[in-house]
Amino acid sequence: MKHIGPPAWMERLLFFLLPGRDRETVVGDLYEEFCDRRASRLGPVRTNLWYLIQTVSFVPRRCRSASFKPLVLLCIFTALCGCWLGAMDFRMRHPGYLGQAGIAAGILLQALLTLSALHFRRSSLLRRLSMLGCVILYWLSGRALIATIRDVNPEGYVFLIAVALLFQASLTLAALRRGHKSGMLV
Amino acid sequence: MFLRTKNNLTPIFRHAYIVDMAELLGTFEQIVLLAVLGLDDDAYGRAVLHDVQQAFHGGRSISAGAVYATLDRLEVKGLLCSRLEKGTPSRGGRVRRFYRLTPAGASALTEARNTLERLWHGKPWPLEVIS
Repeated sequence: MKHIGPPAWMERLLFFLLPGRDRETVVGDLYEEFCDRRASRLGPVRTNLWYLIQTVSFVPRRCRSASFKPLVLLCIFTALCGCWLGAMDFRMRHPGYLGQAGIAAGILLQALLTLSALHFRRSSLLRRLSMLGCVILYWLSGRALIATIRDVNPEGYVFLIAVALLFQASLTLAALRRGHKSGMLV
Repeated sequence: MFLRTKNNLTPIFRHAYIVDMAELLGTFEQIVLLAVLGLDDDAYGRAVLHDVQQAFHGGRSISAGAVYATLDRLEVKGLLCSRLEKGTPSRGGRVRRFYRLTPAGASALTEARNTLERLWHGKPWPLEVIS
Protein backbone atom coordinates (compact mmCIF):
# COMPACT_ATOMS: atom_id res chain seq x y z
CA MET A 1 0.00 0.00 0.00
CA LYS A 2 1.34 3.39 -0.99
CA HIS A 3 2.09 5.81 1.83
CA ILE A 4 0.07 9.03 1.66
CA GLY A 5 1.56 11.83 3.67
CA PRO A 6 4.23 14.50 3.53
CA PRO A 7 7.83 13.38 2.95
CA ALA A 8 9.57 12.52 6.20
CA TRP A 9 12.35 15.08 5.70
CA MET A 10 9.82 17.90 5.27
CA GLU A 11 8.04 16.83 8.45
CA ARG A 12 11.36 16.80 10.28
CA LEU A 13 12.17 20.28 8.96
CA LEU A 14 8.77 21.58 10.08
CA PHE A 15 9.27 19.92 13.46
CA PHE A 16 12.60 21.73 13.82
CA LEU A 17 11.12 25.12 12.87
CA LEU A 18 8.26 24.96 15.37
CA PRO A 19 8.41 25.87 19.06
CA GLY A 20 7.96 22.90 21.40
CA ARG A 21 4.33 23.54 22.29
CA ASP A 22 3.18 23.72 18.66
CA ARG A 23 5.11 20.78 17.26
CA GLU A 24 2.54 18.07 17.53
CA THR A 25 -0.51 20.22 16.89
CA VAL A 26 0.74 22.08 13.80
CA VAL A 27 2.36 19.00 12.24
CA GLY A 28 -0.93 17.18 12.83
CA ASP A 29 -3.00 19.98 11.29
CA LEU A 30 -0.86 20.11 8.16
CA TYR A 31 -0.80 16.30 7.90
CA GLU A 32 -4.60 16.29 8.02
CA GLU A 33 -4.80 18.99 5.36
CA PHE A 34 -2.24 17.18 3.21
CA CYS A 35 -4.09 13.83 3.26
CA ASP A 36 -7.72 15.01 3.41
CA ARG A 37 -7.74 17.86 0.97
CA ARG A 38 -4.58 18.57 -0.96
CA ALA A 39 -3.32 15.12 -2.04
CA SER A 40 -6.52 14.18 -3.86
CA ARG A 41 -6.92 17.57 -5.55
CA LEU A 42 -3.40 18.62 -6.46
CA GLY A 43 -1.42 15.45 -7.12
CA PRO A 44 1.77 14.39 -5.35
CA VAL A 45 4.23 16.97 -6.74
CA ARG A 46 2.07 20.03 -6.12
CA THR A 47 0.97 18.73 -2.74
CA ASN A 48 4.58 18.31 -1.67
CA LEU A 49 5.33 21.80 -2.98
CA TRP A 50 2.36 23.16 -0.99
CA TYR A 51 3.68 21.44 2.14
CA LEU A 52 7.16 22.83 1.57
CA ILE A 53 5.78 26.38 1.19
CA GLN A 54 3.83 25.99 4.43
CA THR A 55 6.96 24.71 6.16
CA VAL A 56 9.07 27.61 4.90
CA SER A 57 6.42 30.05 6.14
CA PHE A 58 7.45 29.17 9.71
CA VAL A 59 11.05 30.33 9.12
CA PRO A 60 10.51 34.05 9.97
CA ARG A 61 8.97 33.11 13.32
CA ARG A 62 11.87 30.81 14.08
CA CYS A 63 14.37 33.56 13.18
CA ARG A 64 12.56 36.06 15.42
CA SER A 65 12.65 33.77 18.43
CA ALA A 66 16.35 33.08 17.78
CA SER A 67 17.19 36.80 17.62
CA PHE A 68 15.88 37.27 21.14
CA LYS A 69 18.69 35.28 22.75
CA PRO A 70 21.65 37.30 21.40
CA LEU A 71 20.02 40.46 22.72
CA VAL A 72 19.70 39.01 26.23
CA LEU A 73 23.30 37.79 26.12
CA LEU A 74 24.48 41.20 24.88
CA CYS A 75 22.59 42.97 27.67
CA ILE A 76 24.16 40.68 30.27
CA PHE A 77 27.59 41.26 28.73
CA THR A 78 27.26 45.07 28.66
CA ALA A 79 25.83 45.08 32.21
CA LEU A 80 28.94 43.23 33.41
CA CYS A 81 31.12 45.63 31.39
CA GLY A 82 29.36 48.58 33.05
CA CYS A 83 30.04 47.12 36.51
CA TRP A 84 33.67 46.44 35.63
CA LEU A 85 34.25 49.93 34.13
CA GLY A 86 32.63 51.59 37.16
CA ALA A 87 34.70 49.54 39.61
CA MET A 88 37.92 50.32 37.70
CA ASP A 89 37.07 54.06 37.61
CA PHE A 90 36.64 54.17 41.38
CA ARG A 91 39.78 52.13 41.91
CA MET A 92 42.04 54.18 39.60
CA ARG A 93 40.49 57.59 40.31
CA HIS A 94 41.86 59.22 37.17
CA PRO A 95 40.91 62.89 36.59
CA GLY A 96 37.24 63.07 35.63
CA TYR A 97 36.59 59.57 36.95
CA LEU A 98 33.17 60.51 38.29
CA GLY A 99 31.94 61.32 34.79
CA GLN A 100 33.34 58.01 33.49
CA ALA A 101 31.68 56.17 36.37
CA GLY A 102 28.41 57.88 35.40
CA ILE A 103 28.75 56.52 31.87
CA ALA A 104 29.46 53.03 33.26
CA ALA A 105 26.34 53.32 35.43
CA GLY A 106 24.38 54.41 32.34
CA ILE A 107 25.54 51.32 30.42
CA LEU A 108 24.47 49.09 33.31
CA LEU A 109 21.12 50.89 33.64
CA GLN A 110 20.38 50.61 29.91
CA ALA A 111 21.10 46.87 29.95
CA LEU A 112 18.75 46.39 32.92
CA LEU A 113 16.14 48.61 31.30
CA THR A 114 16.20 46.59 28.07
CA LEU A 115 15.91 43.31 29.97
CA SER A 116 12.98 44.75 31.93
CA ALA A 117 11.29 45.98 28.74
CA LEU A 118 11.64 42.48 27.27
CA HIS A 119 10.28 40.86 30.41
CA PHE A 120 7.39 43.23 31.16
CA ARG A 121 6.11 43.18 27.62
CA ARG A 122 3.11 45.40 28.12
CA SER A 123 4.81 48.38 29.71
CA SER A 124 4.95 51.19 27.18
CA LEU A 125 6.94 53.36 29.63
CA LEU A 126 9.80 50.85 29.81
CA ARG A 127 9.69 50.45 26.02
CA ARG A 128 9.97 54.20 25.46
CA LEU A 129 12.73 54.65 28.03
CA SER A 130 14.64 51.76 26.51
CA MET A 131 14.30 53.26 23.02
CA LEU A 132 15.56 56.59 24.32
CA GLY A 133 18.48 54.77 25.91
CA CYS A 134 19.30 53.21 22.53
CA VAL A 135 19.78 56.66 21.02
CA ILE A 136 22.21 57.49 23.84
CA LEU A 137 23.99 54.16 23.28
CA TYR A 138 24.43 55.00 19.58
CA TRP A 139 25.97 58.34 20.51
CA LEU A 140 28.19 56.81 23.20
CA SER A 141 29.42 53.87 21.11
CA GLY A 142 29.95 56.11 18.06
CA ARG A 143 32.07 58.48 20.12
CA ALA A 144 34.07 55.61 21.64
CA LEU A 145 34.64 54.00 18.22
CA ILE A 146 35.84 57.25 16.63
CA ALA A 147 38.14 57.91 19.60
CA THR A 148 39.54 54.38 19.39
CA ILE A 149 40.20 54.67 15.65
CA ARG A 150 41.90 58.06 16.07
CA ASP A 151 43.94 57.00 19.08
CA VAL A 152 47.63 56.19 18.51
CA ASN A 153 47.47 53.46 21.15
CA PRO A 154 43.90 52.20 20.87
CA GLU A 155 42.46 50.23 23.75
CA GLY A 156 40.96 46.93 22.64
CA TYR A 157 38.45 46.64 25.47
CA VAL A 158 36.93 50.05 24.64
CA PHE A 159 36.50 48.97 21.01
CA LEU A 160 34.92 45.66 22.07
CA ILE A 161 32.46 47.31 24.48
CA ALA A 162 31.58 50.00 21.91
CA VAL A 163 30.80 47.36 19.27
CA ALA A 164 28.73 45.40 21.81
CA LEU A 165 26.77 48.58 22.69
CA LEU A 166 26.18 49.30 19.00
CA PHE A 167 24.77 45.80 18.45
CA GLN A 168 22.74 46.01 21.65
CA ALA A 169 21.12 49.29 20.57
CA SER A 170 20.31 47.94 17.08
CA LEU A 171 18.87 44.64 18.33
CA THR A 172 16.88 46.43 21.05
CA LEU A 173 15.32 48.85 18.57
CA ALA A 174 14.50 45.98 16.20
CA ALA A 175 12.90 43.93 18.98
CA LEU A 176 10.99 46.87 20.44
CA ARG A 177 9.75 48.11 17.07
CA ARG A 178 8.63 44.61 16.11
CA GLY A 179 6.90 44.25 19.45
CA HIS A 180 5.24 47.63 18.97
CA LYS A 181 3.83 46.64 15.59
CA SER A 182 2.68 43.20 16.60
CA GLY A 183 1.54 44.05 20.10
CA MET A 184 4.21 42.01 21.83
CA LEU A 185 7.88 42.38 22.22
CA VAL A 186 9.35 39.22 20.91
CA MET B 1 -7.82 42.39 33.12
CA PHE B 2 -5.22 41.76 30.46
CA LEU B 3 -6.37 44.39 28.04
CA ARG B 4 -6.34 47.96 29.25
CA THR B 5 -9.19 49.96 27.78
CA LYS B 6 -10.35 53.38 28.72
CA ASN B 7 -13.39 51.92 30.48
CA ASN B 8 -11.22 49.75 32.75
CA LEU B 9 -9.58 52.76 34.32
CA THR B 10 -10.60 54.54 37.47
CA PRO B 11 -12.58 57.65 36.38
CA ILE B 12 -9.91 59.95 37.82
CA PHE B 13 -7.31 58.54 35.41
CA ARG B 14 -9.59 58.32 32.39
CA HIS B 15 -8.82 61.79 31.10
CA ALA B 16 -5.09 61.01 31.13
CA TYR B 17 -5.45 57.79 29.16
CA ILE B 18 -3.35 57.59 26.04
CA VAL B 19 -4.06 54.78 23.60
CA ASP B 20 -1.10 52.42 23.41
CA MET B 21 -0.75 51.62 19.70
CA ALA B 22 0.65 48.18 20.49
CA GLU B 23 -2.72 47.24 22.00
CA LEU B 24 -4.76 48.05 18.94
CA LEU B 25 -5.77 45.05 16.87
CA GLY B 26 -4.41 44.78 13.36
CA THR B 27 -6.68 43.77 10.46
CA PHE B 28 -5.22 40.27 10.27
CA GLU B 29 -5.59 39.80 14.02
CA GLN B 30 -9.24 40.82 13.75
CA ILE B 31 -9.80 38.33 10.92
CA VAL B 32 -8.24 35.51 12.96
CA LEU B 33 -10.27 36.44 16.05
CA LEU B 34 -13.47 36.53 13.98
CA ALA B 35 -12.64 33.15 12.45
CA VAL B 36 -12.19 31.68 15.93
CA LEU B 37 -15.45 33.31 17.04
CA GLY B 38 -17.31 31.95 14.00
CA LEU B 39 -16.02 28.41 14.38
CA ASP B 40 -17.12 28.28 18.01
CA ASP B 41 -16.18 24.85 19.45
CA ASP B 42 -14.46 23.66 16.26
CA ALA B 43 -11.81 26.37 16.15
CA TYR B 44 -8.58 24.42 15.77
CA GLY B 45 -5.61 25.51 13.67
CA ARG B 46 -6.56 23.92 10.35
CA ALA B 47 -10.18 25.13 10.52
CA VAL B 48 -9.05 28.66 11.39
CA LEU B 49 -6.62 28.58 8.45
CA HIS B 50 -9.47 27.61 6.10
CA ASP B 51 -11.75 30.34 7.37
CA VAL B 52 -9.05 32.98 7.11
CA GLN B 53 -8.30 31.93 3.52
CA GLN B 54 -12.00 32.13 2.69
CA ALA B 55 -12.16 35.61 4.21
CA PHE B 56 -9.70 36.83 1.60
CA HIS B 57 -12.07 36.80 -1.38
CA GLY B 58 -12.69 33.07 -1.61
CA GLY B 59 -9.52 31.20 -0.97
CA ARG B 60 -6.48 33.41 -1.45
CA SER B 61 -3.48 31.49 -0.27
CA ILE B 62 -2.50 32.53 3.24
CA SER B 63 0.49 30.75 4.71
CA ALA B 64 0.03 28.55 7.73
CA GLY B 65 2.99 30.27 9.39
CA ALA B 66 1.22 33.64 9.38
CA VAL B 67 -1.97 32.22 10.89
CA TYR B 68 -0.27 30.15 13.61
CA ALA B 69 2.02 33.05 14.54
CA THR B 70 -1.04 35.29 14.92
CA LEU B 71 -2.88 32.66 16.99
CA ASP B 72 0.12 32.40 19.30
CA ARG B 73 0.45 36.17 19.58
CA LEU B 74 -3.23 36.58 20.41
CA GLU B 75 -2.91 33.90 23.06
CA VAL B 76 0.09 35.67 24.60
CA LYS B 77 -1.92 38.91 24.61
CA GLY B 78 -4.68 37.07 26.48
CA LEU B 79 -7.25 37.53 23.73
CA LEU B 80 -7.48 33.80 23.02
CA CYS B 81 -7.13 30.71 25.17
CA SER B 82 -6.53 27.16 24.02
CA ARG B 83 -7.02 23.57 25.08
CA LEU B 84 -5.57 20.31 23.76
CA GLU B 85 -7.69 17.39 22.64
CA LYS B 86 -6.82 13.87 21.61
CA GLY B 87 -5.81 13.30 18.01
CA THR B 88 -7.65 11.20 15.45
CA PRO B 89 -6.19 8.61 13.02
CA SER B 90 -6.73 11.09 10.15
CA ARG B 91 -3.94 13.24 11.63
CA GLY B 92 -1.65 10.43 12.66
CA GLY B 93 -2.94 10.52 16.23
CA ARG B 94 -1.43 13.92 16.91
CA VAL B 95 -3.22 16.17 19.40
CA ARG B 96 -5.36 19.12 18.32
CA ARG B 97 -5.23 22.60 19.84
CA PHE B 98 -8.66 24.25 20.04
CA TYR B 99 -8.89 28.01 20.49
CA ARG B 100 -11.54 30.10 22.20
CA LEU B 101 -12.11 33.82 22.50
CA THR B 102 -11.55 35.21 26.02
CA PRO B 103 -13.60 38.09 27.47
CA ALA B 104 -10.59 40.35 26.78
CA GLY B 105 -10.63 39.16 23.16
CA ALA B 106 -14.34 39.89 22.85
CA SER B 107 -13.90 43.40 24.24
CA ALA B 108 -10.89 44.05 21.98
CA LEU B 109 -12.93 43.02 18.93
CA THR B 110 -15.87 45.15 20.05
CA GLU B 111 -13.59 48.12 20.56
CA ALA B 112 -11.97 47.65 17.15
CA ARG B 113 -15.39 47.50 15.50
CA ASN B 114 -16.67 50.55 17.37
CA THR B 115 -13.59 52.53 16.41
CA LEU B 116 -14.00 51.68 12.74
CA GLU B 117 -17.72 52.45 12.82
CA ARG B 118 -17.04 55.83 14.38
CA LEU B 119 -14.44 56.58 11.72
CA TRP B 120 -16.69 55.44 8.86
CA HIS B 121 -19.72 57.31 10.14
CA GLY B 122 -20.83 59.94 7.64
CA LYS B 123 -18.31 58.96 4.97
CA PRO B 124 -19.69 58.49 1.46
CA TRP B 125 -19.79 54.93 0.16
CA PRO B 126 -18.57 53.80 -2.33
CA LEU B 127 -15.55 56.06 -1.90
CA GLU B 128 -15.11 58.74 -4.49
CA VAL B 129 -11.51 59.62 -5.08
CA ILE B 130 -10.73 62.59 -7.28
CA SER B 131 -7.57 61.92 -9.23
